[in-house]
Amino acid sequence: MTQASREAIIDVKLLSKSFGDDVLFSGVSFKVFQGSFTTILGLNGIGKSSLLNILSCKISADKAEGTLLGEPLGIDLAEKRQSVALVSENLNYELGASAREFAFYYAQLYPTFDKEKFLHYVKERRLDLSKHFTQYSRGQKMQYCLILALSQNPKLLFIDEITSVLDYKAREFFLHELTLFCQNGGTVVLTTNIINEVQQCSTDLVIIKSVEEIIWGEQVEILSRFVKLRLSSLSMLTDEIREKALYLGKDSDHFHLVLIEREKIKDLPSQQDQNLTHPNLHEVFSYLTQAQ
Amino acid sequence: MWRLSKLFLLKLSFTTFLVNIVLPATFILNDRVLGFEKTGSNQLSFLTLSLLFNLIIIPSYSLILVSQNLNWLIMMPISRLKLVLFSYVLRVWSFSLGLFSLIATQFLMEKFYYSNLSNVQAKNLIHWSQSVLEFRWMADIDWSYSSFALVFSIICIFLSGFVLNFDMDSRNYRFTATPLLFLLKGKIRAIIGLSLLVLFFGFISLSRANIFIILSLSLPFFMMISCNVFVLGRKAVNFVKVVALLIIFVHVSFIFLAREELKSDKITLKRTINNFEYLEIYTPSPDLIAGKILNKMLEQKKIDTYFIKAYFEELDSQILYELVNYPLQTEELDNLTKFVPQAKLDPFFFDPILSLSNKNSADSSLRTLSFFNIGGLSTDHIHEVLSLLSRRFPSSIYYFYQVMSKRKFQPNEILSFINNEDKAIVKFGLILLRYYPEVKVTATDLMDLIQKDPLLIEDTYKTVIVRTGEYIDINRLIPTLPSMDLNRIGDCPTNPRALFNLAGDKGSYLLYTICLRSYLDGVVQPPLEQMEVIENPFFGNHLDMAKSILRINK
Repeated sequence: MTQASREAIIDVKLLSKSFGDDVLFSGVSFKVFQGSFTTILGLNGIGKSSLLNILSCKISADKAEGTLLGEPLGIDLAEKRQSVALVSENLNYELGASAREFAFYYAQLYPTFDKEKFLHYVKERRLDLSKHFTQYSRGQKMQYCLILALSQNPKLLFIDEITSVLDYKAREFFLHELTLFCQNGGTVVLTTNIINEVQQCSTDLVIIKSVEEIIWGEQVEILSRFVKLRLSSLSMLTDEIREKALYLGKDSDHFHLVLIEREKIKDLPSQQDQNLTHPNLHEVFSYLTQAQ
Repeated sequence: MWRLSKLFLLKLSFTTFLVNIVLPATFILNDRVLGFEKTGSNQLSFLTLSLLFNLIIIPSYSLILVSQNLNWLIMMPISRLKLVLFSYVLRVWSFSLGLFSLIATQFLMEKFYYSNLSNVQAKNLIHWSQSVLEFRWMADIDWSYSSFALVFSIICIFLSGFVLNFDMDSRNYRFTATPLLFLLKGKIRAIIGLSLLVLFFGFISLSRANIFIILSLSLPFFMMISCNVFVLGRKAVNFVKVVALLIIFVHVSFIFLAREELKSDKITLKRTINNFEYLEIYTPSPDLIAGKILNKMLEQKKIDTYFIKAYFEELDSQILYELVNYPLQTEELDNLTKFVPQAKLDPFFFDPILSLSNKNSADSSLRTLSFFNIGGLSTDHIHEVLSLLSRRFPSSIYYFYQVMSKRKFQPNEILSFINNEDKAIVKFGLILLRYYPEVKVTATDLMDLIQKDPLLIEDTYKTVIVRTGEYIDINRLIPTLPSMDLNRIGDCPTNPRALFNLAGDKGSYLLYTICLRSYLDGVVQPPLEQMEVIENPFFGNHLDMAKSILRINK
């Protein structure tokens, strides 16, 4: 499906945001499409969580145009939050109620809350609802938050770096459920630092390269812009290309592995010794952020 | 929003309920089962904690609760305006809940617990607490104490509410206290400024120790920062938590110290508490209690006017408080006009003085003594008091003599003092002799005193001189003490000012007295009793008086 044929659920144009003198974004633009599993990538401190907070209307941008769920971005509408859910490590349901009691009241706030789905997830993940939220382990807390958010049936689900605290079983379970959620028309926007884990289910990428530059689009399309070369010698590359390329080390046959943008291939002097392979997301991300 | 409120109300109601069960239970346990301390003080302490928890801690807790849960609250499908409204409603609700619980608990305690008490102070305190609960305290605000503290606390709570709102409305969703104020505009900044001004003057008005109160009331501010984890980072949050815990720890420690103070005899501990006056601002101030009791008694003409005078002269309120709170006085207040037991020696009589002597200085005991109608003291009382005080404050005993000398003495009483075994009482008798010429005593009788105790020579010599009205050669008076070279009239300095240098040296005291007398003979002839003041000659007052007699200005 081409981008043109997909409907943008989030359309951000010329977004600027700064905290005092600390400028996070300066006129960046990107889109998130409905039904996509969009992964936001970036180095630590680049503004992944802040971007998520802006998109989820938790904080406002200094300047931004565009739309979110069809409404102008930055307008705080209660109704809009009915269709949005945010799960982050910072969530704390510290009200002294048990997880069951809390879910009971929480469900009443959302007409779309699916109690059966909630109980199904709880059963699957073996969460003890008689416990208080504070009694859960860190991973269990995140599972509980995710279950609440998924059961809420939102149109947009923002997830801020929680995969790292989940064990591999929980991670597999929730990534599978999130994929199903997307297939059913929901949209997931997730920030993460564990890139390889999400490569399989991620459909779209938003890579924060710098304050002014965000690379976004379908994951397949972004990955296809890059090739991995297998070279007998690095001297085969011109100085100009070598400067921009990402050196990935040597393989078992002592060939040099180099990542490079596909469009540069035509500039290579000879392609006879080159073995072209597809890079993975982690390698592409490393290439894009190597200068930082 | 109501659905959302249920979650919070559940928690707050439970906490309030728990507090108002635990507090009275602890009080009853201490009072009845463990038998700690005096009922009045215990009730005071209970009332203090009730006020603290119900009107301060629980409303503050509602703030903390919102702050802790802000991260998901802000994502709820309700508008920001409603969320702000919700936080206010929650605060008002928790305050009302606390107030209601306070009234209910006090009512129940009075109905089922205090009703059995006969202690006047306990009842007075209950009346006071009722007046607080009914806001009648507004009529007689003592702005430097409890009422101010309540107003101040309420301002703090609402001020913190303001900050919370800004926190949510701020573009950056970033909490930094100082810049935040400058981000505000117009009327809002004016309100904040005014509140800070009130706080500033409040801080001055309150005792220095109330910095703990201010810190504790700032707790919600600190806690609110924790809701911005993604801005501050974990280290900052941990730091804030440590600070918050530290404040709570200090608070709890002081509450326990205050409780200890009420039942402990440890002087250091009492001093610490007295210095900090920690809980005073949440309790009826001693002035307020004493004032109420005194006014009531004045209306009924049941009080010694001397006491009233002392009260309005703003004497030490702590002493006054202890005095009126003492069992002896509480019994006496109901139907007698004086604080002094008339018939027999009451075992409680000396306790206030003793208690204060333990805790404070001779000065405090002196002031305590001034509350008593000295005219009502029996001879036995005077014996007891002087004996006690001379042991405790030997160097200040002359001041106590001065207070005691206000009473009119009978000749036989003075003679009983002279013949007493206790040297302090004998000294007092010698002083009195100077003012009661009608008491028949011969020089030989007095000389016998010196034979008995040579250390009485100074007082005896002065008494003899005053009584005879003329200078007597000490050698003539005391022929048995030839070793003392007292005939040194020729050594007197010619300049009167130089005379006073002698007074600083104890060894020259006799020479000083002799010389002073010789000057007085030549300069002015004042009544001798004016010169021979009942004070330790080595204190400044005596010098001042002598200077005034000799018309020396400097």
